[in-house]
Amino acid sequence: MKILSFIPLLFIPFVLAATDPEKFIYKTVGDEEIELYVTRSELTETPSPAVVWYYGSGLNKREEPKQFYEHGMILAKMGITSFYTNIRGAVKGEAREESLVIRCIEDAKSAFRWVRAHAAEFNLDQDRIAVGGGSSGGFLSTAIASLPGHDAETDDTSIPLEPSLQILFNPGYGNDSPEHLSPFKHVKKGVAPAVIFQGTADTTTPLTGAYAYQRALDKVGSDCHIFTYSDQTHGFFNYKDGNNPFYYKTVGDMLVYLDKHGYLTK
Amino acid sequence: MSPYPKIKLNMKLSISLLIVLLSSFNISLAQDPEVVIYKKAGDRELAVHIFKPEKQDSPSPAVVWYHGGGWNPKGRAGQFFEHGKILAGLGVVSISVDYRGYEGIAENRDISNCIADAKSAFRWVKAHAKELNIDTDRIAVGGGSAGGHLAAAVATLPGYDDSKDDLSIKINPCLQLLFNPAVDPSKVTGDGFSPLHTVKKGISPAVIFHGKADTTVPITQAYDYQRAMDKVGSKCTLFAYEGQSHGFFNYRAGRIPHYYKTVGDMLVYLEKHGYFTK
Repeated sequence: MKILSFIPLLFIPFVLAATDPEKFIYKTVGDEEIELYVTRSELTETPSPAVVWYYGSGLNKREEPKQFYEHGMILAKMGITSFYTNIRGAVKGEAREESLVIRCIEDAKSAFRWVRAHAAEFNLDQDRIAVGGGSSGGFLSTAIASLPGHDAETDDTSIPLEPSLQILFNPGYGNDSPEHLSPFKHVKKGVAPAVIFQGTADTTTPLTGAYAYQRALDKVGSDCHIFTYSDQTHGFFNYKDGNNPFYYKTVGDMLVYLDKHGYLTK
Repeated sequence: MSPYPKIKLNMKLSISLLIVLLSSFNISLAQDPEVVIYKKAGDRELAVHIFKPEKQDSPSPAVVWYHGGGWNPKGRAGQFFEHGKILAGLGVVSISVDYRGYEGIAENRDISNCIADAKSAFRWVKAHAKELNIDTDRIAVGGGSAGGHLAAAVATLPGYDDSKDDLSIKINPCLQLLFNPAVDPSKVTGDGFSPLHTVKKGISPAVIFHGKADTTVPITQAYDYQRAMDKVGSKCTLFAYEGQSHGFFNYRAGRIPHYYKTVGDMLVYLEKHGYFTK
């Protein structure tokens, strides 16, 4: 009887395994634990490339960083491990001040360093750790790639950021921000190549921003590839409930790009 | 008195039931198609494998899929299951078809039965439109390689009907979804089986996904089909993929990038053409 009664428990993790990423705490600030979630590569023979994802939300707080879960599950089949980062975004009613942006950048950097520090545990290839994100999450990705400073006091800054690739879904670039919050204004030689997925009818983060970013990367000799999608608006690439053709379209374009650039295990 | 029979479940039994419930739920949840026999041919039972949307508030569009494999008798219907699962999320019913293989020798294949079965399956779907809750004006045919041939044959080739079919059911797919289709297989089948040669005015539009490096069914066949369609005033859209070879679109290890690439192109095409919403 005792033996039988726990058998259902064996099934439950099995049911969840395919869909639910694992949770880890990457930083504790006061009483607050900040978490990231992981979908591990399904191919484990060699160290995996990874993507550290940042959700878009206009830097608002989210319960769980779900935006790229569906991307990560496909990438896992192709040998890539995904980390989905939560950040201390704005809580309801919080004023939009510089301190908020700085807090989010700090968290984004802490999470990225945590991934590097735990690379051996997750069997990651340190040379192929990308950042990725949408909208404000895209902004945080570009910050990891280019923006100096805004390191959390608790971070071990001897761990380099230096992502190998920027995967950007209609990102913000901080074009209008003061210099110390504008990754765009700090693009330097050696910055990671970028791939941008951008709707042409986006009025929140318009296509012109992507072109400007491309010019900035081009100037320092880094590749920046822009996929444009005619008539598509902000957030066009989201999974939604699996009923969005452009989720599949952008995923297809992303996978072919990653394949070409040596990120996929065959 | 309760009208229901009293069943006394002991703990053990109820737990095993729970396990069965949990595991069957887990496995059947959107993973496995519903399998229905649509036709008996000799001693063979031919099935359709159906993926449905979770909810169908109004009649759904549908795709009848034909697998590839050179019309080989050992061919399997599973080739488009992964397409069917994604399409279900967009409100589309997918029906993957078993069909009999070719007769005769490999160099001179008689594929009459394959075409007859392909047509029977299409008619079966139309005849069961009510149960499947599908919109008969939005039934597309789709397939890869030899299955692409069959999809195109259903749309264009006259004849090869199974005499046991209800021939009053008109075969009128709204669209052809063709993955490196063998629209002119005459090299291995002889004459009389090429949709390329029977394209007529009024034929449903087509979309072709083809690898430029395909040596099994060269992309020139897609160009030829496009010209033939153009001549009769039907639209044929071609997505050509640099460096890709035969079967590049399949959901298979090492090919998944182009599986998603073609699925994305297909879905955007379908949306643009109002297939999802009517």
